[in-house]
Amino acid sequence: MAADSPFPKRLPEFSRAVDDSEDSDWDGGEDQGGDSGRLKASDARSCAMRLSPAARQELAAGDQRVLDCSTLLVGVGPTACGFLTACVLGDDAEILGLISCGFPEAGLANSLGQTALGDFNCFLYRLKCNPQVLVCHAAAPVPPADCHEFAELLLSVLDVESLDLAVLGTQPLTSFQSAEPASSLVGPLLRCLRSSAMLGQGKAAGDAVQQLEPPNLLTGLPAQLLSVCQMRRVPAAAFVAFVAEADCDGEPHRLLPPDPAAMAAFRPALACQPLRYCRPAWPPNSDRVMRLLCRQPGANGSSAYLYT
Amino acid sequence: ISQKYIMSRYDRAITVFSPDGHLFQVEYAQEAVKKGSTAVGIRGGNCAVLAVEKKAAAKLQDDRTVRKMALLDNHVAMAFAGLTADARILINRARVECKSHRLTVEDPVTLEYIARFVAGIKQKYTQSTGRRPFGLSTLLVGFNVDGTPHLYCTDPSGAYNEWLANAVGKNDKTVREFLEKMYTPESVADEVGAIKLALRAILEVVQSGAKNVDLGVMRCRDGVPEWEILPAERLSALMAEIEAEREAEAEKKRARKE
Repeated sequence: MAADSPFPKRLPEFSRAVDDSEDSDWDGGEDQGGDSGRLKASDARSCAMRLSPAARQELAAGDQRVLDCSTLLVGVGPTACGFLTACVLGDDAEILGLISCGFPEAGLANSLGQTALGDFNCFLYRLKCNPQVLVCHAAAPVPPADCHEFAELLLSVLDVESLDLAVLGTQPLTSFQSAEPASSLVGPLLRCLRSSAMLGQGKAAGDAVQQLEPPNLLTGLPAQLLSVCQMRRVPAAAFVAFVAEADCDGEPHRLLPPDPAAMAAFRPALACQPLRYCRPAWPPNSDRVMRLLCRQPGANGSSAYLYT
Repeated sequence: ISQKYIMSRYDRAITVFSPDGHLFQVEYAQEAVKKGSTAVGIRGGNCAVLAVEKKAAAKLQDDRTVRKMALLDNHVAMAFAGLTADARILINRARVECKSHRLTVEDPVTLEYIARFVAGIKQKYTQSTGRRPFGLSTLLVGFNVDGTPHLYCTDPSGAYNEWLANAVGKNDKTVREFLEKMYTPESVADEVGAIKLALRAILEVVQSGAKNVDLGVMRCRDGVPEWEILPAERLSALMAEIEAEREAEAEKKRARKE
C-alpha cells in the first residue's frame, strides 16, 4: 500500500545515523537501538493539570468557567512554600488540584492526597477561612522550558481581570550583583518586582520591600509568571529572597526541610500587597512550623548525592 | 518544525551533530558539571593547591566517604565537579594508568600525560554509540619529575588545557573573574600565598567556615612529592587571617575616600 501511495513515505522519527554495531569496550547493558529504545513523540515532556471534583464542578457551574479567586499566592521552591504554609495556608486548606511538569499526563498522581515530598506535583490550595485566596505550591523544580506553559495553565482556570498575584521565590545570594564584593553580602536579602498594573493601581504605595535593582534579574518560574501577568495586565508582585546556596530551590536540596532563617526572609512581604489582604499570621504557629521542619525526605533522597 | 522538536531529534544519540553543529549531549554534560559544587585550582611557584566546597554530609553518613579530591598517584591529585559516580570511574581508571605507567616506563606520569589520558577517555565517550559523556570536569594538580608544579583542567567534551588558576562547578565564572583580578605570579610565589589565594577565591562563593571548605596542597620537598589536606584548625586560622586582611583593606579604602 505504501509503495502504491502517491505521497512520499514518511520518515521514521529517529536518526538513521545511529550505528547499532557492538563496541569492543562495551560491557553490556541496555540495548539502545531499535524503535523500542527511542522516546516516542507522545512521551514528550509537558505540563498537565488535574482538578478535584469540587473544583471541576465550580468551573462547570460558572459562565466563564473559572475558579472563584481574587488573590493567588504562588510559592516557588521549598523555602517559599514553607513560608506560605507556615504563615498563610493554615491547617484546613482544601486541595483544589495539582499541576505536574516534565511528565506526560499519564504520569499525574492518581490521588490528590499524594503530597509526599518525593513527588513532582505542584499543588493548588484554597483557604477555608478565606475562600477567595488560592495558594499554589511549586515546591518541585519546574524545568525552564515548561515555565511558560505552567504559568498559562495556572492562569487558565482563574479570572485574570479580578486577580491579584504574588509569587515568592529564592535565588542564590552569590548571584546577587551589587557594588559590594560578594563575600561581604549578608543574606538573606528580599527584593521585589511588580507588574505595571500593580504600580498603576497604586497598590505598591508604601511597600516596605526594596525594588530589585539592576543588573540583577529575576529568573525561572517567578519571572515567567510575572511576564505573563505583565502581558495580561494582571496586578502582580514577585518577591525574591536571595539566600545561602543550600536554601535555594535547586534539585539536590529539594527534599530537605526549609531553613527557618531563610523562610523568615519573606517576612517584610507580609506587609505588602497582595499578601496583607490574606491576613497572614506572624509569628507563624510554632506547631505548624515544627511539622514542616520534621517532614521526612521521600524515597528519592539519594538524588542529593548525584552531584559532588 | 519548532526548535524544541529539532533538539529532541539531535540530543538522543551523541554521535549525531545537529544542523547548526551542536553536540547536545556534550553541552548537557557541561550543564551537569554546573550542578556540582565549586572546586578551585591554583598553580603556585613551588606548590599546587586545590580548594573545594565541602558538601554537608547527612547525619548518619560517614563524611570521610564524601570527598571531592582524590590522589591519583603520589605526585598527582584531582578535584572534580559533576556526577559523583562518573568521577569514581574516572579516578579508578586514572589510578590504574598511573601505576601501569610507573611499572612499564619506570617513570611517574607527567601531568600532561595523565590529563591527556583522562581527556581521551572522556572524548571517546562522546563519539560512541549508546553511551553518554562523563558529566564532570576535573582539575589535576601535581609535580613533574623535573620538580615543576602544573595544573590541568579537563571538561566533558574531552578538551584539556593547562592553567595558572581555574575553577569548575557551580559559580565557576564568579571565581574565575576573581582569580583573573587577583592572580599575580608574585602573590603565589610561596605556598602560603597560593593557599590564601585559593581560599579567598572559594570564599567568594562559599560561606566562611572550615566546615564548608576542604583544601589540599601538593608540594615537593627534596624532590619527594607530598600531598596534604589541611586540618580544620589550620583552615580556620587562615580564614581568620584573610578576614582580618579584608577588614584592613576596607579600612584603607575608607580612609582614602575621606
